[in-house]
Amino acid sequence: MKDELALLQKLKAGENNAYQEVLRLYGSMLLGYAKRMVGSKDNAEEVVQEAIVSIFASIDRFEGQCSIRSWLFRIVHHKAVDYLRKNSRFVKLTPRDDETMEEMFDHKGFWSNPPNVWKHDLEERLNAKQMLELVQTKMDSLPHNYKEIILLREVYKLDTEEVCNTLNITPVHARVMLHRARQALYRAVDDHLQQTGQGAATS
Amino acid sequence: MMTCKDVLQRLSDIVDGEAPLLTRWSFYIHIAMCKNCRKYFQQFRDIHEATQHVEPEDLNEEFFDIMNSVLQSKPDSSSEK
Repeated sequence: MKDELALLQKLKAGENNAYQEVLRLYGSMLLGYAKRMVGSKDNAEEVVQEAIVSIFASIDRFEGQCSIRSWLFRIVHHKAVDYLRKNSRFVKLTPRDDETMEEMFDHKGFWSNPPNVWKHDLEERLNAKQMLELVQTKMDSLPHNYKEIILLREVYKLDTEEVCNTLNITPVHARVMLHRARQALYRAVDDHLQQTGQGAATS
Repeated sequence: MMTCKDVLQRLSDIVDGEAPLLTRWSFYIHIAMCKNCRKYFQQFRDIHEATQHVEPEDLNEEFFDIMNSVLQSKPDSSSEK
């Protein structure tokens, strides 16, 4: 916290080595985050460059209400969403997510369609690396707001407060969105395993 | 007594360790008795663990050079003050 304050003071003083420090500490994660959001390295570099320029312009207005990390993520988030909207690639979640949940249970709240059980030897055939690749691919195919909250929480390990500051949402909203995002990811992996014959309906 | 739907709605809080004690008890009692929920929870947890191992990308040198040149072209506010 003390280091953050010192870094913030240096940034506000316009010291070049402070910006280099920011790049050293956060550049890699911002680029990775942008790449997963916009889908290609070239576009991600453009997004992060724009974000850095925006940081120069807005540093005087940043008063340290949140961590530098979540402030940086917030700026990249806005630039990435602008980019996606400009290129008509911003995918919103659909009401089907909630409907699917309703279809899974009867009126008493018990399974109406029991979950598919992945084959017992799945762990052996799908080693950790393959599972990771599958999850990563399916994560990238999620609607942007779902993908983003999983990225921030699981990959970049932001805590709830930082996620809320980055996305400008309340903790309750963050919890609900994260839950839905994880369920959507589960369904995407499950669908893939069913389609490729690696899952079976429960007995 | 929790229903299967209740269990599913609490999975995120459980894997994040954010569910209150009473909820955790009810959750695990249900899981112990319900084969479907137990399997779903296990598979859900497998995916959750995998997401935690997705590697952030490395910043390559080329990009670092580009950003450094952006920094060099930044107006030096300290000299203006």
